[in-house]
Amino acid sequence: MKVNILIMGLPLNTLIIVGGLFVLSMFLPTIIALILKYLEDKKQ
Amino acid sequence: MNKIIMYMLCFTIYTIVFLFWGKNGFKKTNNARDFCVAGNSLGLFTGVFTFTATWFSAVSMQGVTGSVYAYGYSTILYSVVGWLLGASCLVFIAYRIKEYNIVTIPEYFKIRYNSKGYQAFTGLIIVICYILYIIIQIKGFGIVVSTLLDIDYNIAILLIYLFVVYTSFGGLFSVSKTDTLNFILLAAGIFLAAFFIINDIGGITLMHEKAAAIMSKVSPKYNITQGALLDPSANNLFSPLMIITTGLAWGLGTAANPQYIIRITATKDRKTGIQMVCLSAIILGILYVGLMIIGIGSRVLVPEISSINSVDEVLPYIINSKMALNLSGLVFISIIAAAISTANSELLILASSFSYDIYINLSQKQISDEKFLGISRITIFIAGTISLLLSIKPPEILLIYGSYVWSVFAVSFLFPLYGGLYWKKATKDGAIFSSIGGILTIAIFYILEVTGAYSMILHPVFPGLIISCLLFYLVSKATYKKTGDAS
Repeated sequence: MKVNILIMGLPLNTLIIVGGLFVLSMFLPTIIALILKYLEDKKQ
Repeated sequence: MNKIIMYMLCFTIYTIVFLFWGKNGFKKTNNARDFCVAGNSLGLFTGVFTFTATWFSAVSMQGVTGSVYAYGYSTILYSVVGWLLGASCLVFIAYRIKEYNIVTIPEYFKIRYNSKGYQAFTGLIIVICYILYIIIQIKGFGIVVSTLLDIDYNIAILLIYLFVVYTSFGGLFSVSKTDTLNFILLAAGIFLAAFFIINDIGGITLMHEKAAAIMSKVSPKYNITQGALLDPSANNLFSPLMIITTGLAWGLGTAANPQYIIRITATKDRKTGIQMVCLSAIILGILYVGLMIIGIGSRVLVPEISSINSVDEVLPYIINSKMALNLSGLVFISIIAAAISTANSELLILASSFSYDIYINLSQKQISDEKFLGISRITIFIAGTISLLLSIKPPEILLIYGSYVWSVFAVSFLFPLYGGLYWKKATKDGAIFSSIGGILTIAIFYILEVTGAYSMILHPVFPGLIISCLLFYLVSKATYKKTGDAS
């Protein structure tokens, strides 16, 4: 039998796929900016 | 108090505040740089407000909310995630674009590729795409105002036309000022509506539990199976390929979209531009959480709406039928604010492109600042009128139509823009072939789909990007070797 793990009523696979990608995309500009800054500082 | 009187009152107050708030922009605008990029003076907070308010359009407010209501969380994958990934690419633009000291994006193409013709061509793409995209904002506004004020749709769309033309006349100073007001209103409206819905249902967990049991049709047109609202593919209603390629159309369209890039160039320095993009993405993410709650929660509160023709009408219906009187007035204004704040930015860029990149560029003569502002304002008036007329018979679903318009930006601007900034061997010929090849590919796929010769299993942006990328790389490589004309 397939058991669905729920977190706040939301299936785990939805939380990981939709929620995970959503949170990642939300913070990705900041992550990229920090990486670029690090690379730039390293170059100098 | 009668709901219509309440809406009228809110609308009148909004109009008075809006007119007062936006008038200072006119005084500050004296030349092309003031008009197009606010004299490169945007600070972090003004930048974040104008970036976020411009981003948050009728597509977000009505398209995302309505689609989440109809299809659940799968909508987020092919829209919001794509958009925010596109914002990530803008960080790369923010790192380099300020080196070019430009007034418009096509001017960057002229400087980088040393071609006035390419500047005019990309300016023309901007003019056409934004005329088509503003229809979305006009339709979104028209649906809300006609539903809630109980007036004819055609009269309702005339109102947004007046708002948008008024602010665009004042240039980016005026637009960014009113964007601050619009951002505050739309954020307040979203959070209050989300709070009301959660409170009414009894919590997020309960909302999801009830949503999992829903299997009804929204209306005769939109059907889902049980559990689809909480499934990443809406129980296989959308194929993973379709979700990924539609997200790609939106995302790369955002990454190459002049309305965001021009805000980066309008900031006072590079650091502010980068911070603006990063902070805006986080704020937008928080706002979208509010929209997700509104979409899923509304479906739980009202599982079926037989009276709507498209998912874009869901939010106005919920506001009118479920929300308390005081709250519904604010949410009503927040939808209007979202549509106006995007439409005026797009009309402004469109006018800048026509007057700066097409008229001045091709006429080869110097014109006074007064004449430039005059031509730009006439363009705003004419282009706004064309969009208004096209909005009388608007497209059915905002979210899908918008992805087509955005995909044109993706295939025509993406590689010339990023390639020009980060690849020294990029050439003028590579850029021109890339833009034209990408647009032709999208056009062919679109015609095949309309004529029924091709069933859309993936978004046309996907083949369009492949062709555009290949042409950019191969032609640049060939012509760089031959002429070495990269600047």
